Amino acid sequence: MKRAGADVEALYRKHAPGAFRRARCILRSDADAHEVVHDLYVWLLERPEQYAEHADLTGYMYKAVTHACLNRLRNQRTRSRLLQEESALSRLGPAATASLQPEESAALLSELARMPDTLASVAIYYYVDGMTHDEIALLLDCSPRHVGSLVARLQGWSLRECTS
Amino acid sequence: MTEHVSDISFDRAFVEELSDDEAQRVERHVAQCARCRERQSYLAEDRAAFLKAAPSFQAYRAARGPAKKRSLWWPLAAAACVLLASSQVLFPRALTRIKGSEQIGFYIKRGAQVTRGLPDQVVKPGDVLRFTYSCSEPKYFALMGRDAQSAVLFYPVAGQATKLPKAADEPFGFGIEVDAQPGAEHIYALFCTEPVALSPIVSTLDRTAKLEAPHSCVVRELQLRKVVP
Repeated sequence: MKRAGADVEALYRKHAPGAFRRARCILRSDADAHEVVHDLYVWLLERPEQYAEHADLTGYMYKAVTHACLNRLRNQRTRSRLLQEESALSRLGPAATASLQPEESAALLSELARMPDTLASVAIYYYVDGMTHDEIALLLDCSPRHVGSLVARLQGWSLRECTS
Repeated sequence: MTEHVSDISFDRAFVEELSDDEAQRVERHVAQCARCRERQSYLAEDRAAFLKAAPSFQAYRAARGPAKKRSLWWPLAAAACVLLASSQVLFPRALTRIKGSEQIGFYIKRGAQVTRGLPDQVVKPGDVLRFTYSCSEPKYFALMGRDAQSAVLFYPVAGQATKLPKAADEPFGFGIEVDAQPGAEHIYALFCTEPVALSPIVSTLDRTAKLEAPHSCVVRELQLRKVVP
């Protein structure tokens, strides 16, 4: 039995602002971010059991938005726009500017579409959201140590891609 | 707390999902960290501005307008389904004849035209695919794809396989736009008798290009050929 739409309204008021902020940060387009949030909530309206099972709704929404944005980034038109954009850092979270040089961060974000899914997700959680290894491990359901190795792989990727 | 407060902690705090201990630790850190205070203010203002512009999902949906690509696509697919139900001569009934009730199929929307997908279907960038499923009893379901570069989970968006009711040629409520990466894309549908965590399956598929599904799952596979004009 489906839950009433009122639950989606509550989910919207709690989590849509953060979903939009993150989608805008990753996609660097208000229009694209709105489309991601809209489609995600329409989807949740049709499948309320998706979020009803999760105790950690913030974590669930972080994963859902990350996934939706990565799918969108794999769209060639979005990638082309990002590659042409110069102000890549304007909306990044604090961790990105602290951990990488500006040109490295910009290149990394542009590379998300080419990365394997897990690595791209880690890139977003680590550089865009500024999460700790423990927080990422919780979302990915793996050990902080594994997250550490993924971040190391990511930094290797970043340096390799930026210098090539 | 020696590390700065991350956005996810602030977001959890905004919606009161932090434990009491964690909430106190965030509060203590923010009290002594100017950078985190500034970030917290920015996030709170951003949040308020969003909700001021669209205080409810109903208002948000209305503001987005009805002419969304996916909402246009849905009636077309529904019409195609009606056609299918009334005349099985127009389209092949199933993509492949496989023993068992679990099946997937798909429709392709190219411009204004909707057609039923076929085995080894050629698709082009910008085509929108809408998948359908059939099963004779409720199953936990997941849909994922692997092209030459990487794997991606299409459905559900995260977490575990989703329990679906029994159905025949039931279209999903989302479309997938074909990207411009040419070559073969393998689509895998998992029909499982119990919940399965999808993250390890997608990670393995991503890394090895091989699907390693649990024994409780029946796997159906489609191959698409992505051609860039």
